[in-house]
Amino acid sequence: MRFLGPRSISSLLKTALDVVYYGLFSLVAAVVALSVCLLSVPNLASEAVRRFNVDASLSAGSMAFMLMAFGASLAGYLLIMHWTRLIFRTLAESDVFHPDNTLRLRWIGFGLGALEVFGYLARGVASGVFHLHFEPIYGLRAVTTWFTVLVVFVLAEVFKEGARLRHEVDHTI
Amino acid sequence: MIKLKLAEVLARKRLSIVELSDRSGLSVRDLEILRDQKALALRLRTLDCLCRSLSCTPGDLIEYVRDED
Repeated sequence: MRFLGPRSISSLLKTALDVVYYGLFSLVAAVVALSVCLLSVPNLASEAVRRFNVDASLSAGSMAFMLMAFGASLAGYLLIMHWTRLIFRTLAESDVFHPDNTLRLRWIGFGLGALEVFGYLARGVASGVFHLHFEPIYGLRAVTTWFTVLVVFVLAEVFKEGARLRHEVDHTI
Repeated sequence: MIKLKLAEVLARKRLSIVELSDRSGLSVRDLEILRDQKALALRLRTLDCLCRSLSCTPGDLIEYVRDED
């Protein structure tokens, strides 16, 4: 099975990404709705505390704040998914070195970096303010995201050069 | 800069892009790119084709124009 063009692996992955994208979109909407519910119906908070075994000392406002932060990080993933879908759309059309793909890859890199920093901040706030404890991440896992960001930026440069070469070939008669 | 004088040659020979495309076998789109000075490079094979179709020399089609800046 070929990788580019219609009815290829790219096309299949694009469809899979579409499904994940809309699933993630629904999840973000559900998280935002839940946090709004927590703010407007305080009794819901005590129910959630019992069900999810979260620190009972947390107020409804704190939980809503944490849910909002979780929703924001999911929205970040949603944006990354959106740019990835756009890239895969060009791959499915056999248009690999589309000029817009460079910018999309850069946004994906910035998005991944921003999400990682947001994760550090969220963990700091959660442990400092809400006294929640997370398992620390050690070893290569701790820098995997930063390697990914680096690779994505390198890939963006490759695509930029590819788009330039394609433009040159298109204008060579 | 290098300037392609295809439009002038076509006007002098009273030929249209479509007629030149028929004669040379080059696509209308490619000829339009050449005529509109949007080409970044010109293959020797294309130049040969144009010279043969228009009965001219490369010097009739290409001109060096000194940039102002």
